[in-house]
This record gives sequence, C-alpha cells and structure tokens, in this order.
Amino acid sequence: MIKGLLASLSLVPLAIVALLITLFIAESWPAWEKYGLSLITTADWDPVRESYGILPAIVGTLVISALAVTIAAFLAISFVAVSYEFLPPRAAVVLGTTMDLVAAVPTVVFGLWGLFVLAPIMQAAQEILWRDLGWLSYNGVGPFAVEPRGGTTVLTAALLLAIMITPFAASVIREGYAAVPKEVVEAIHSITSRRWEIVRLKLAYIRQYVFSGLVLALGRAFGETVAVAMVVGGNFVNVIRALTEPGVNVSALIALQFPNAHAYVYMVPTLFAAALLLAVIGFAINATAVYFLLRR
Amino acid sequence: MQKWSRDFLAATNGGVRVNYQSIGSGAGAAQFIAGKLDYGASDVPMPGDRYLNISGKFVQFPVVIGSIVVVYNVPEIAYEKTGKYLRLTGDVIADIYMGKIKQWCDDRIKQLNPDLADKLPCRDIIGVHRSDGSGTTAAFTLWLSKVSQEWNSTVGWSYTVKWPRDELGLGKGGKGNEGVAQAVLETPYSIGYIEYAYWWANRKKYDQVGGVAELYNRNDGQWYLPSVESVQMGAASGLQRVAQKLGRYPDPKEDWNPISIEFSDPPKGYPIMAFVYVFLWTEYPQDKAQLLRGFFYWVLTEGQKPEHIVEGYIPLPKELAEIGLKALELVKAK
Repeated sequence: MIKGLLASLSLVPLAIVALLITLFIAESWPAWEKYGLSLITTADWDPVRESYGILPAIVGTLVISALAVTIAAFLAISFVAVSYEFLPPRAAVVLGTTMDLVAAVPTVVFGLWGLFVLAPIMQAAQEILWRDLGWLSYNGVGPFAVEPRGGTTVLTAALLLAIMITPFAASVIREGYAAVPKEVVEAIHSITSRRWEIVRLKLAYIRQYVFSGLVLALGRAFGETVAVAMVVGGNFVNVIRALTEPGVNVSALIALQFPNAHAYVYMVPTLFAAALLLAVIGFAINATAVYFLLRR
Repeated sequence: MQKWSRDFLAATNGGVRVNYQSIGSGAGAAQFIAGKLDYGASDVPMPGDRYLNISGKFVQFPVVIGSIVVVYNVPEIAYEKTGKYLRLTGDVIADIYMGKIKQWCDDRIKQLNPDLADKLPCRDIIGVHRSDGSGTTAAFTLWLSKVSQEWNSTVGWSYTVKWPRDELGLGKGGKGNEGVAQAVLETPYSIGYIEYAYWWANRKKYDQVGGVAELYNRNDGQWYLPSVESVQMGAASGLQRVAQKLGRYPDPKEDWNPISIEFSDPPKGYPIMAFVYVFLWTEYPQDKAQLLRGFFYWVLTEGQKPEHIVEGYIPLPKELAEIGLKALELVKAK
C-alpha cells in the first residue's frame, strides 16, 4: 500500500515535466507552423512586422552557459581545495557557510550588483582585452574581436553567472571531498606530501562529484533569467561575433519580452518555442551527463 | 501611485488604505479585466482588442504625466564644461537610431548646435534602448514615427521594435528605465531615452558626462528642454488638438489609443508625451464605489499638488484632470 503510493508519487515529477513539454509544444505550435525551422535558424526580432528568428538567443545561451560553467569550475574547485587543504578547519567551515549563503542571495540582487558594480569594472577590463587580444580572430569572429561599447556584454553576463552558480558546484564538490574514505586519504598521504598533488589525487577520486556539481551548475546557468537580462546588453538581432558584444540568451529573451508579448499575435508562440528549445537542450545535456556518470 | 496611496492614508487620518502593486502594464490590464484588481494603472491606454471586450463597462483617464527625455553621454560637450545642452530634432534622432547618422561630428548635428560644433567628437554614436517591451519605447518610437516618414515605414512604433542601429553593432539594450539610464551614464558617446523621472533623479550625473537633449517641436518651431512647464504646455495643446478634431473633449468611456497618439508631437510645447492611465469599472459594490471615487477624486485634485506627486512626474493640466473627474461621475454603486 505505502509502497505503491510512494511509487506513484515518484512519477509526479515526471508527469509534471511531460505536462510542461506538452504545454510548450501546444503553445508554440502556431509559431512552428508560420516560421518553420527558420524560427531557430535565422536572426530577427521585429514585433511590428511579426517576424522572429531566435538564433542569436540560442547561440547566446550556449556561449554564455559554457563560459560560465568553465569559470565556475575553476572557482569552485579552487575554493574547495583551498578551504580543505590550506585553511584551518574552522576557517573552512566559516567559508563554506558563507558560500552557501551566497547561493541564497536573490538573483535580482546579483543583477543590480552586476549592473552597478561589475559592469563598470568589466568595461575597463574589456577595453584592455580588446586592445591586446582583439587580434585573436577569424573572419571577424573571436573572443574579444569587437570593440566593447560599455560594460553590459555577453562576457559580463557569463562572469556574473559564473559567480552565481559557483556555490552550487562547490557544495556538491565539497560533499565529495569530505566523503573521501579515510583509507584513501591515508593512501594518498603515503604517496606524496605535496599539497597540490594531494588535491589532484583527491579530485580524481571524486571526479563524479565534480562532474555532477558542474552539471547542476550548468542547469542553473541555463535557466537564470533576471540577472542575465540586466547585464547582457539585449541585442536580439545579431548573432554575436565576440564576447565583448551585447547579446542575449534564451531565458533572458523570454524574461524581457514576455510581459508585453500578448500585444502581438506570434510573439507568445515564439517565446514558448524558445522555452521548448531551452528544455530540449537542457535535457540533452543532462542525459549526456547521466550517461557518462553511469558508464564509469 | 504608492505615494498617493500613502498620502491619502494620511489625509484620511489612516481611514482608507488603497493598495498598489507594480506588476507591469500588460499584466495590470489583463488582471483588471480578469476582475482580480479593483482598479488598474498603465502607461498605455487599454489595448484596442481588450477595449472592445469590456467597452462600456469601464472608464479610463490619465492621472499624471511621465514624459520621456533623451539623454546623452559625450564628455567633450558635457553640460558642466560647456553650459549648454545639445539640440536635437526628432528627424535627427530617428536617423541616429536608423544608423544614417553615424558619428557625433555629423554635419546635421553640427548645424543644430553651432556653439558646440567644433567640440563634437568624431566618435561612433552608441544607441541605447530598452531590451524589455515597454510603454516608454512605444511613446518614444511613436514620436519618431510621426516626425520621420522613413522611421514610420522602416521601423514603426511598438513596445519593442527592431533597432537598425543594433544590426550595425552600434546599439545596445538596457533592462528597464534604470538599465538604460545606467548604460548611458557608463557608456561614453551613447544616447538613450528614459522616463523624465529617471533623468530628474540623476540629472547632476548626466550633466557631468553629457546632458539632456533640448528637443525641437516642428509644429511651433521652438526648442524645449524637459520641464514641468514645457511638458504641461505640450499636454494642454495636445488636448486642444484632440478637442478640435473630435469637436469635444475625449470621453473616459471611449478607446483612448487613437487619442493618446494625438498627444505625441503636439502643436506646442515639449514634443514627447506619456501618461499614466487609470482603469476603473463603472459598477462596484456600494462601499467600494465610494472609496474608489473618493481616492481618485483626491488624486485628481489635491493629489496633483507637487508635494503629493512622486518627484519627476508632472501634474496634469487642469483640463485633463477634469476628464478624470468626469469619469468618476460614471463610477456607480451596483
């Protein structure tokens, strides 16, 4: 009886996801019918003429998320390593708790901080990157190939996002780090006494935790709306050629445009199509992650 | 709204509390229609299709003016250094956002500003705009559509438009008025449009890096800096034009979309206009009808005094407030 109840309860999340996907498909149908695949393969955002193509947002999502997770990986791993290997235990506890608190800060606070503090700093930083590394480009496409026009850009959004998702990655990695069995720790210590070597071996031992932590962080990066919307610069009509340009990602596009979307005929279906795509990409990434985790 | 509700609470000695929550214009109108709110407020009139659904059962009227200003960041000609604000016509602003005018040292900008001509730098203009859909964008692009034929046919006006300057890589968006206000402040050689209130609160900062544009009214041939007087003059003369066309003052029961368009590019005064509209049902339960009438009567009379209006918003000229007062007579108990 109870077993059956629990089993059916476990299906509830699945049912909710299925329902959501069905809703996305149904609501986005008029847009697919009208625009076909050009909805996701072209770049346009012209509500006056009801012409939409969300390629810039899709590229933006992939670039911003990938960059954010890469930065977050460095931040989270070094945070865990430093607090466990180089700091007295008490300080590590304080630091860890602080990190957990960072995860609880409302995203709009991050957004405001990003807009008023991070963006002005990034403006100067990006000027330098563009001046010194702008030549790293191919056909005008390169990380810093475009002269930055103010601080709110794709790069600023990715960095802000990285800071926001680091606590999520760090907390999972920390769990793993603390759970390394005593025998393994002793074995590692018997091989080497160099601290960075110890860190490297322990991280290799808990690589599945590291991996899960980063996948969790990636999920957060995918869905974050408010903070990204505030610092990403909001250019919906061009596919970015450089990180130093203003751009947009799918979640920010939805957050920015949905409130007034009902004034148009095809904007709501288009935004639902964008949501559907976000869900599909998210599932694909998570499925890949689970596959690799189980294979080992 | 929040300040009015606070001040009204004080005026009634704590007797009446009117709640107001900012949920966005589109959502406000939708929830008002769904009956979830006793009254709605929006920076655009009730949209045409929705108006048709509830026509005759509700009234709408302006309660305050929130004009739109054009701000710029050009350190070389900052108001603090030159003591002068840049003069721009709607035509030139449209061509800037369309990408036809590329740099600040363009001859057409120089011609309008002979005193600043030799200081205008040959730097690319960065056109900043809202990245979220907004009534501010609608009012701004409506004005550009009226004064520039080409803008009207290639871009048009809407909550969100396709900015040609973005396609050139010389435009960027900001979320909300605060986002655009901040982007212009921090981005040298940028131009942007924001609600009057956001400029007013930061005007000292803008004077350090640039300033606020003096705009040209093509109908009376005069230049206007945004001010309570110039904006009220625009609203009053816009109303006169509406009255002339209709042969009467606009009615709170009719569709205000065509009317609000008439206020843009008015015969006299500051040329860009945006109102905050209030929606009320014509029938309420007895006590509610009385309370809402009382509150909005206060808003349209006592509430229009400077001490009760949020800094940066502009009180209605008397003739416009009277339309609201007329609307209140139509609000009755069931």
